[in-house]
Amino acid sequence: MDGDEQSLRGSRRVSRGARIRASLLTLWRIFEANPLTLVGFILVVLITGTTLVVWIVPTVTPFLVGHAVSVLPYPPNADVAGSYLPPSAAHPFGTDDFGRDVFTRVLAALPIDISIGLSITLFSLLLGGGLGLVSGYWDTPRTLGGAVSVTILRVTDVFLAFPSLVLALAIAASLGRSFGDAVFAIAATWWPFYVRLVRGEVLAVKSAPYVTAAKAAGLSSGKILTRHIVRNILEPIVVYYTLDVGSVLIAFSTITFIGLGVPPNIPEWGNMISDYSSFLTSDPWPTIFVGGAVFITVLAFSLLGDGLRDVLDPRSRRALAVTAVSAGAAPGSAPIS
Amino acid sequence: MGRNPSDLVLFIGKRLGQLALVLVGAIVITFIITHLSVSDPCVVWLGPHSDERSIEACKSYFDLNQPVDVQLLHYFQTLLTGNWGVDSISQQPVLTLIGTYFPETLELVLASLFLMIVIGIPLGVIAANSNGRWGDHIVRIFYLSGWATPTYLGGVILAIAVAPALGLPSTGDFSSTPPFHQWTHMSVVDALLAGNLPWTWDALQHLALPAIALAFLNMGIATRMTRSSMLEVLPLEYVRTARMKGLKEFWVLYKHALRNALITTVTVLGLTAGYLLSGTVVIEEIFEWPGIGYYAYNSIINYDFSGVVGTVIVFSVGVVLANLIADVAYGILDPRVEWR
Repeated sequence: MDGDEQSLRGSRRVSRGARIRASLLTLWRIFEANPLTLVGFILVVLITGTTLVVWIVPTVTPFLVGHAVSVLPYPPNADVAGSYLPPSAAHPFGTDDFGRDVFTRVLAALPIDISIGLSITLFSLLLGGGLGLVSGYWDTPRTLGGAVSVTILRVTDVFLAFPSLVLALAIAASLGRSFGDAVFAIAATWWPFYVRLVRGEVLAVKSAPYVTAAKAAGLSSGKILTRHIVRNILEPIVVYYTLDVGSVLIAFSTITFIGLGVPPNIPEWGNMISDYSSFLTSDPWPTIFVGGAVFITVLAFSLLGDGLRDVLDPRSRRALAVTAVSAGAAPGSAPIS
Repeated sequence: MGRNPSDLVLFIGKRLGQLALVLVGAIVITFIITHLSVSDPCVVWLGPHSDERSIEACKSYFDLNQPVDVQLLHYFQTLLTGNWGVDSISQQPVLTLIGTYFPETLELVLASLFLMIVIGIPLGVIAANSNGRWGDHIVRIFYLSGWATPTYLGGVILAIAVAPALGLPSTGDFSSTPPFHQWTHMSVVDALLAGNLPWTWDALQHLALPAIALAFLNMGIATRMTRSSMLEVLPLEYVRTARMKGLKEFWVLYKHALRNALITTVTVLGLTAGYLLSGTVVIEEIFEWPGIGYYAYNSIINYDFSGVVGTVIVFSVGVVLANLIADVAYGILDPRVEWR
């Protein structure tokens, strides 16, 4: 991000087109700095795109053509061929112990797993992030805000001391062991991380000259928060969010792997691996393909988030630039700033 | 505020006070969630065809007749006297069970931590030193692979596919009951204490795969932190001076640069305790490793409340203590830090 781009952002007279061009340029620099980030980005787009198609087509078609049209090649729970078939053209991922098409089941699980990954992180971001904003901005000791802030932090500490998986398992196991309970269990243990993250970022930018200037100009706290603080802490939070989608997906599939959260007949990656791993040595294909689906999905979000972090985090960005220059930048690796 | 020993004592005291607060919160939350949500655990334990009398007897034995707040108060009273309740399956005191299971988990976690340090940190150095080139990309793919593999998937593949291929055992801590007394309940340490080398080798073989599974899946954190702090240290003057003095590259990297870069890595390793402990629940269940994670898993599945609350206490203390140790270590490594 150059100085000229900074001024582009600040100025309101710049046309919309120029601003879009500037952000596309930033995006291109991110990808050029690290090709793996581009790989992650393409994979994330592909995966979420497929998820949307698998999810939306059957929900929309009843209103358009009168009956639900599925994009899945086979019904996910029907015996379509013999059991334990190896991968072939008709069944790219082979078939499982009940003769069900594994490729179909991997696709059918996409809407559950991806929407859980995205929605629990979003919930945690809104709840934890909101609490983090409050506890970071109004933290003067011996005021009402300070008391609220301390209370928020102490409650957060309690939740942070739990290994979240243990608490989530305890909640999921003792509640009804259903889908909603598993979602509640993860959501209940996930938001505290965001309190810490957002609070730390707010404390870092709160004393910046531009915030002091905004205060001196007589802006209300609400406006300072939304216009000046939130906009300036967005980058690290976007990075963390991207990385976190994969972590939530893994946490949820761990709960279903153990046998809680999703009934056995509903295709979901965790419970599929739990079923398929029992015949891993005689027929490894189903485990390999379902495991591969989890792996590639989480890896895609991690590659994207990891690459974004290198470029967006000013500390590591500076370090990257300096070493690139001092070590004589390898051909092809462009300087970042 | 400064760096006197008295400040350190004050700092530790303050943190232990916070630990007490965290523990009370953790117990209250777990206790209420488990006790409110299951209407009648005695029916679950005794089976659907049990008669009224034995269910009543079970209820009064496990103190389930009273309202939850009374039960909670009662639980706190007995907790302080060292009575953590009775396990509903094995009928043994929970504290005794935790005493035998916890050292096993400690052994597993320490073994994985060792692997994370010995493999993860050099990988971070390699990645930083070849920043933006192939070495960096390969290391990045390696540690992100660990990050992207769910613990259960890595564990299942190692236990079911890799263990037979390598001829390694995939269950338990010993091949059979060892012919010596288990003083510490850490399998390798016990075998060494007994001076029995074949049994030590046996214990090491049992430890290998679960420790590798746990380490590989969490290694990315050590590698990632070492890489980014090395990137900050490498362009500094003193590293260039060391290079100009004609020191071998190895000593420049591992003696001069890494020493300063390690400070952040150490802190972050302390923070991974939570991940490692969470990981033990799944890994110990897959490898049937007789540790606290295995016990937690079975308590959760069998609605054994005393066991669930007991293991949550142990996990919470573990996480808070690991963070405290990391903070103290950070202060010792970096003389600029003040104890506050």
